[in-house]
Amino acid sequence: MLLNRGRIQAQGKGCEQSQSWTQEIVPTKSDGRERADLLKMQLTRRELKDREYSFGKLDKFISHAPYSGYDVCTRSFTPIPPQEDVRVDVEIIKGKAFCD
Amino acid sequence: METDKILYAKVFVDNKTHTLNREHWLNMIKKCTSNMYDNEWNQYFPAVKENFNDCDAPILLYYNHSLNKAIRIIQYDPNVYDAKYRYNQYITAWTSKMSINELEIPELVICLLLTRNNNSDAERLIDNWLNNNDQLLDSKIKSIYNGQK
Repeated sequence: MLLNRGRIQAQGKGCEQSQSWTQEIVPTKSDGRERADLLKMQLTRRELKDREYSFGKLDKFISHAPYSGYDVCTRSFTPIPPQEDVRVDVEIIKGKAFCD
Repeated sequence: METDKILYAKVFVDNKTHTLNREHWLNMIKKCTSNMYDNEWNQYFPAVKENFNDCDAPILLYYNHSLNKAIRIIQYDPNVYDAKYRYNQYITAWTSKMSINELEIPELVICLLLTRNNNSDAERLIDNWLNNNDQLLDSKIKSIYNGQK
């Protein structure tokens, strides 16, 4: 049975929080946004502010996924200009993610 | 006044420039690994399926099988540059783990606006990473972070 696995992570400057998934059904765009919102709730106000632009890019990435979702890939979204290793990562480890 | 210069300014505008830009990174890696056995298992993950104008996709993913190390290079769109900042504020790097075929592989990630000077910094990072010069790598990353201030 093909499982869909992946995670969204907020990392950098000592922050390391994540939301992961392992499921049979491909996570939808709505699922992706929900995971991102849950991840935001795990951050301090400062950590969230540092990643405001990055979460915006993540939302755009999720929204622009093809109909059947993205294949295995990794994206890192840093602030612009960057701040050390501050970023939001999305890793689609197995299967697909963010279908319609 | 900025004396540094942006390279491959049209990287996300036309396919030809994107291809030349990617070859630039491939040549740099080959130069850094010239003293290593050319392992046929080393993999370059060309962004074949990506649109060349997707600036969020890495321009290069490289996996060295012998070293069991990866490099991911992400270039910022030159249009994001704001002249109130210096060019050297648009480079950063870190090491982490990435999944390749569900295995966790150590990776060096470099995000940069590709300018002449940032290119030199990236080359040092890549060379230190592939030649296992961990102290020099850490020191270089710290100096890049200091340059962001």
